[in-house]
Amino acid sequence: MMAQSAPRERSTARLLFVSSNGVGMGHLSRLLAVARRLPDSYEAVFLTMSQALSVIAQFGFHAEYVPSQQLTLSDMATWNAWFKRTLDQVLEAYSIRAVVYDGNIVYQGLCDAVLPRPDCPLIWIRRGMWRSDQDNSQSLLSRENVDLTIEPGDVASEFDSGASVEQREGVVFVDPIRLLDSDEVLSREESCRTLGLDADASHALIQLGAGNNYNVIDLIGSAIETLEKTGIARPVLAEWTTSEISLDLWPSIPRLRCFPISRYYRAFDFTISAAGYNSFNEIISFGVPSLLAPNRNRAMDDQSARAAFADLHGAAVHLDHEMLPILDEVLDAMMDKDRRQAMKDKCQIIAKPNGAERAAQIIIDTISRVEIP
Amino acid sequence: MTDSGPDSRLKDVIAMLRAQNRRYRELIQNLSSTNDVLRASLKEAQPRPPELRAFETFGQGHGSTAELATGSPGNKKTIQSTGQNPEHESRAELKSLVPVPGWKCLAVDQPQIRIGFLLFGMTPENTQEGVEAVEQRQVRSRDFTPVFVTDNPDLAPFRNRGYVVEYVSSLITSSGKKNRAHQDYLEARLELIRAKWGLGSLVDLGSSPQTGET
Repeated sequence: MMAQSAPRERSTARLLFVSSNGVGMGHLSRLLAVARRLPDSYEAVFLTMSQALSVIAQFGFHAEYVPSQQLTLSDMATWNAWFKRTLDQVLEAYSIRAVVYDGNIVYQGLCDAVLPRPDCPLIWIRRGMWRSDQDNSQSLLSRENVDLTIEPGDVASEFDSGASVEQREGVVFVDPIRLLDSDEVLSREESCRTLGLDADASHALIQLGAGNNYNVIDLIGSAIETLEKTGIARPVLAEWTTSEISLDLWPSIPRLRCFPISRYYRAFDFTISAAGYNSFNEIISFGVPSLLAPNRNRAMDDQSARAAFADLHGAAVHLDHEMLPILDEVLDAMMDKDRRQAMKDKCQIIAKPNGAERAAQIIIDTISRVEIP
Repeated sequence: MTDSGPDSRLKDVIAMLRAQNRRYRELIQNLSSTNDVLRASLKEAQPRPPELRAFETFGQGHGSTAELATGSPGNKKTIQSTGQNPEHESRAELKSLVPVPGWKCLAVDQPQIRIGFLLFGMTPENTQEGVEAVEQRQVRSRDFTPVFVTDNPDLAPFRNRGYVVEYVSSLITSSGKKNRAHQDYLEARLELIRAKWGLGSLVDLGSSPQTGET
């Protein structure tokens, strides 16, 4: 798929893509990945709890926003009732033909608004890799309320030991859903030119998440200090579009604030990254040598399993907290060109194709089976 | 309620305030647990590092303007079964949501009046100034909670201050004008927002969303 394409023709079937508000951009990114691969005869409208509205607009889609329950002092039941009313309004106003939802919990308000509309299927995109120490039984029961559950694969799915593994009846699987295809990632020269970086110098991308639910500052500080002290590579800090904090504690370090960051991965010799769904699957698929530092917040997916899987296959280094005292040695090892090439080769072995197009097709097939009275 | 005497009402109010205080404490604890937020705010005076911006136009052309249809939606079934028809629901039956009061007034533990501030057709700079002005007023008076309504997709000025914001898109038709269906939709959205947050009044800091004038 080309980065720039011709504007779409007006279409007749309109789909509502609904995303909950995660810590990062995972839910929204998957929906964007699918939406931009819909056939021209389908049109996507977004209703999101993420505040990254400008990202949706950047991709040329129309978006509506609904504040999540966390922004209220009210109980979940009351919020759900208002969420239903908002949905009712949007479903009617835009003549929505189907609802595609990405989130960990299928909200009651969503069910109450969509289920009474038999000509409007509800499709749930629900990733795997849930933490085994979470009780997700109630969340996973949501699949009984939807017309179809699509589970986007994960490069590390072999290490998936979460609750969703035992509840796969009726779930349709696709390869990992990625926003970009490989040919949309810019070359090193183009990336460096666009970002204003010296293509002949070494650069390390530090992308440890939005910082919204755990302290990324200490690790970022350690990585920057080590990189500057050793002169191994020039650090660049990725700042999330929805981050509640600004990573401006290091005035001499350039910050990269754009979406999707993976478009510029080739500007960097390696990355120090969290292991969220999107970052991890993109890093492996695009062959970026990496140190993976999982976000261990209990509310998150099993990022440690992803990092361990990639480490086991030699495709990345699992950066555990115990390794922080020897961070300079680890980073020094990352500057070995042969070692980085070996990592890239291993990435290629474990990488999986992009499942976004397949997911779009499954959604279209589901819609076409629903009779319009 | 069988006992409607003054003591009972007082108990109800005290219980409500206690519940609200608990919620505030939880919010403060959650906020305090993210040390990075506090650290970042302590460093505001430092010079900002260079920011790399790129890829602003990537992805454009994949979507649509999502024009609203004029007239009634054609082929929708009537809502059935468990769902109630929203058009016939009485909003009075549903209590309004209580918005978070913003980071600087989290500790205010008295019931707040809620005011909606409309910021339509404003530049990002004017939006920022509008939010700042409301925040300054709120910090001084500590007697209201704002809920903002904007047509600007950049919600950072609100997020950074812990305010609730509703986004109402300024949807333009291919002819460059808003159609009747869109006008109706905007009015319905605003009415829903007003009821949802229990807004006692709306203060227009920008231009009217009905006209789309700037």
